[in-house]
Amino acid sequence: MKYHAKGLIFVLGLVFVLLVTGVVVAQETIELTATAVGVGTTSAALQAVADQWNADHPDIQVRVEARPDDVTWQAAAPSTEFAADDGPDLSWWWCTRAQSWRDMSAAGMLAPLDDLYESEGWFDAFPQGTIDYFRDPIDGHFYGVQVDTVWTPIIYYNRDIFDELGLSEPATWDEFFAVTDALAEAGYLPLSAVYDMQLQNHLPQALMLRSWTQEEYDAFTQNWSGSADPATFEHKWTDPNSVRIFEIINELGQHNVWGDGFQALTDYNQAISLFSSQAAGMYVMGVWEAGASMSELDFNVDWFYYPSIDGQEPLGVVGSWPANGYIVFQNRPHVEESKQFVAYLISPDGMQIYMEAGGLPPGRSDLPEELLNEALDPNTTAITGEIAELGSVPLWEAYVTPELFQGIREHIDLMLSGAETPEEVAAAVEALNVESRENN
Amino acid sequence: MNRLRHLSLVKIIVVVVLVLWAIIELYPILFMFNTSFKLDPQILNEPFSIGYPPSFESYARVWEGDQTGQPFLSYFMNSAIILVGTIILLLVTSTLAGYALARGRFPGSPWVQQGFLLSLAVPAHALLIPLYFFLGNLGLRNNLLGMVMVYTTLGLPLSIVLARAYFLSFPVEIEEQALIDGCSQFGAFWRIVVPMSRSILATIAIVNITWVWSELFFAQAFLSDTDMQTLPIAVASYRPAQMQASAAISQHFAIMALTTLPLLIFYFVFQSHIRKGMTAGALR
Amino acid sequence: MTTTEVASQPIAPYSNRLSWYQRLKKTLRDNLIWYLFVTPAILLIIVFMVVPIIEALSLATYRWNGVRPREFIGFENFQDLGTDRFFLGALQHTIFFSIAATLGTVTLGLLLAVAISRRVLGASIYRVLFYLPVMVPITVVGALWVRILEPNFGMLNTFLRGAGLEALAESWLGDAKIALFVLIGVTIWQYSGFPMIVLLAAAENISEEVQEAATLDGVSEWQRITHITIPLIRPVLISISVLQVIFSLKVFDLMWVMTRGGPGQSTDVLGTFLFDEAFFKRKYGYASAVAVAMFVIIFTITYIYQRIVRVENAKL
Repeated sequence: MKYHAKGLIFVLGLVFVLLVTGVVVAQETIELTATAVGVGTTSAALQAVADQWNADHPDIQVRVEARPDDVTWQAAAPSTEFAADDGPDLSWWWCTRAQSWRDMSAAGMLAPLDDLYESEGWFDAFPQGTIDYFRDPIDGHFYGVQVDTVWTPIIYYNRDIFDELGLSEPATWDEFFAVTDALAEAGYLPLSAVYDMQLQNHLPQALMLRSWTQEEYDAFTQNWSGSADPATFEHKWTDPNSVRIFEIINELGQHNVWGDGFQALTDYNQAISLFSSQAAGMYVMGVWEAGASMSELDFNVDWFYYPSIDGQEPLGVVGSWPANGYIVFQNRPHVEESKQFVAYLISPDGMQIYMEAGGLPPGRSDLPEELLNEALDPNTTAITGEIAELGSVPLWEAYVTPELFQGIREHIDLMLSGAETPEEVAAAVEALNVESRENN
Repeated sequence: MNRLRHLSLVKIIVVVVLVLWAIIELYPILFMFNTSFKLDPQILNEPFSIGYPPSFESYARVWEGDQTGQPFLSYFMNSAIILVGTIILLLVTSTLAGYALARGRFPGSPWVQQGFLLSLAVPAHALLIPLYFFLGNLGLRNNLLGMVMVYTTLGLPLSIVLARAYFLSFPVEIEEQALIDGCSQFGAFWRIVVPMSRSILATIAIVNITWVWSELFFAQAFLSDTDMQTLPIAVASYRPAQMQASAAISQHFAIMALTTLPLLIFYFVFQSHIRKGMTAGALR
Repeated sequence: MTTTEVASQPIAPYSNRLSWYQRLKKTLRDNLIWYLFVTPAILLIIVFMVVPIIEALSLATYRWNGVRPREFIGFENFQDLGTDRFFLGALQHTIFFSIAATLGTVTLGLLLAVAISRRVLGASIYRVLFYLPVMVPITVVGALWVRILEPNFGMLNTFLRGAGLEALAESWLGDAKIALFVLIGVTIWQYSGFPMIVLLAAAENISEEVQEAATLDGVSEWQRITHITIPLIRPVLISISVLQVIFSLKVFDLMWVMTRGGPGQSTDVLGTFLFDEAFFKRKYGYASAVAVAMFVIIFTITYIYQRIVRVENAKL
């Protein structure tokens, strides 16, 4: 009988162990993979949020994978990493046409987030412009959500040098040239600008906001597509308001505003170092530099925006980049859980963590000011406030095809090296625009 | 008296030119090391100053890797593993093929030789796009073994040309003696010829080592995981911390110096072997 | 038949009495070792080079942006290439660059090699030193020279200004007219060591007897160089030149790091053009067409190279 008792206890024990194991195994941890760019603070910010989430949700763990520089990774990922079945569950992404965002949603690769927009109250949290931006023009669904926003271009200047030379923030282009002349005469580089990003890219777009009317802006962000409203085709790049953009850039070049050899200044480090070591009087870049970079300098920094043209009210003092967002992939095992994580990320709690680690202003405009003050550095908060008042509009490049975008850059490059006139640039861009209608 | 006669004006000019050229060749390299020991303000305001006492702060920051996603050592190890793997595989495959083309009169050998020479013509860029997807299918993307395979293939054409030229001028008698002594063809190759061919091995290694170590294009495309990435990617995507606008250039130079140093060391150690390898009628 | 009768009949060679299949097997068996020797190399090249090239060829007949389904368009990409001013510009720059860079590196390499082989003062140091820049990674070379050539604060212009040569202080990489030349200069700086080492080895290979005979005949240095050294190293000179041309045609890294193809597209070469089209404009099909064009050009030159080598070898 003793044997049977032992045997019984043994069997019972075994069953108990099996039951417990079974329960534990059944509660399998779900692991989600999220990718984000590693250069800068993006993946660090995402990691901070993921850490908090992982602590709160032992059953759904998020693993953040950092990727190299934004451009090359974003060029290849849609057709490789994202298309593969074992790709990430969600990702930080530039939600623009140029980064294949619209193509991915059209191909069914992205999960619509409509239910989150409803349940999380995002329709009220984001400015109308952002809601409109994220609504897919074809099927009306929302295939991404904005996480933070950046504005560009902003001209940071060395206030000590300005005081020394008796200069003040220019309000017109004439005043602007006066300032650059004075700086050049005193031996400074007037304006340090990263050639490809600033001069070929952000500068023309800032001028678009100053030279175009609202109607023109609406037209040009749409009329590269063959299925756009034909009325928009009436507006051409060879119209005076468009040519004016290139003329002003050309004038800036001839005025030597960026110093000698500015076309060779493609090194980000070099450009900012010129400003930080007081060799340059001004430095143009986006709001992302306002935080740590500008606060760490040993001279006083302030900023202003490009002047308006002929007193015309600009559509926005800066362009905004609504495209910093998160997307969730469709063909994955845990789409719902991924969406839950994104919902947390965009919630006020998640955004607080994200902002503190990332330093960028949030996309949603309904967060209390104290939150922003706490999470962001003073410069960025100040700029955020200013822009909320002065207004910003999504950059043109957020809408257009990569070919058109690269095309305008190439022709501006040619113009600045004297190979093309502003009129020729305008004609070339118009030709690209028309051609784009055939393929899009 | 004879000495003075030889000391013609021409000779003096030649020496002066050579010395000048030596300075021009050396200057940028020294400049790199010098600058890496300075901090940004000094770099921009006193470009010609000597970085003494040397500041290792930039090296420390680079080593920590707070701006490159992974600590420096990770990139370094990946590069090193790929380099060693590629060079070994290259040496083995190219010497085998080069030897066979030099010695073996087998049917189809002119075709094979033609094929290898034509593969010299393939621009690597052409391969990028298809290889990207091809490697993905093979599961070799984002992985060091895949890079070794790709790099070896890219380096094969030139290495085979060098190996073949070398073996053509290698005295046949030695192998014939070995064969007579009862060695197999492969044995003769492996145990007799190869140990005596250290110079061509060094040459092939040296010719390939720089580009494999510093290859950016394919590495950037194929290695998306930061913990798989190699040194050139870290250098190319290096951005200063937003806290460190005033140390940007200095760190950039530090990382460049760290990338170049292993190559220079390797060169100084093996340069006598290379010269011997080149002497043996390579590139005939 | 008797033994003598058998012996007196002419016996066909063993191999002629075999079927083609048996002959194949025999060939394989006899030469197996050689086939094994070349197999690894052939395998690698077929798998990682030939297969992708075939893919690239076919991708060139499609329009593809990486995500949408491919669209077959036949030779339209090639037609577009023919009228694409940026492609033609890149082509022009590439050809110019490779000829100029080769001329520069080989000429300089030759001069240096000759000088060193004649045991000029310091030769043993130069021998080691001049190859050094070849060992520096291209990205590092590019980054260093960008700083040296920076027009306002770079070493070169600061030096020129200090030496009173202000007029020469150009905007080296910022001026579309001279940027390409500057890049050629940097290439010569970096790569003249390679031809130098090879030509030096060839020059030193010239037998002692020939040199002594020349000395006895009382030739001048110049005559020695032009009538003895150069003619005797001609084959190597030609080989290294063609190799340099082939490699220069494929150049990418230097342009990308130093100027990104600018300013004003003046340093855009086929390599950078291809990269831009593929990764910035997402025109993968078009970029593949560019790749095909590159391959054809270089292929042609390699073929010519082979012809030349054959002619040269026949002469020897």
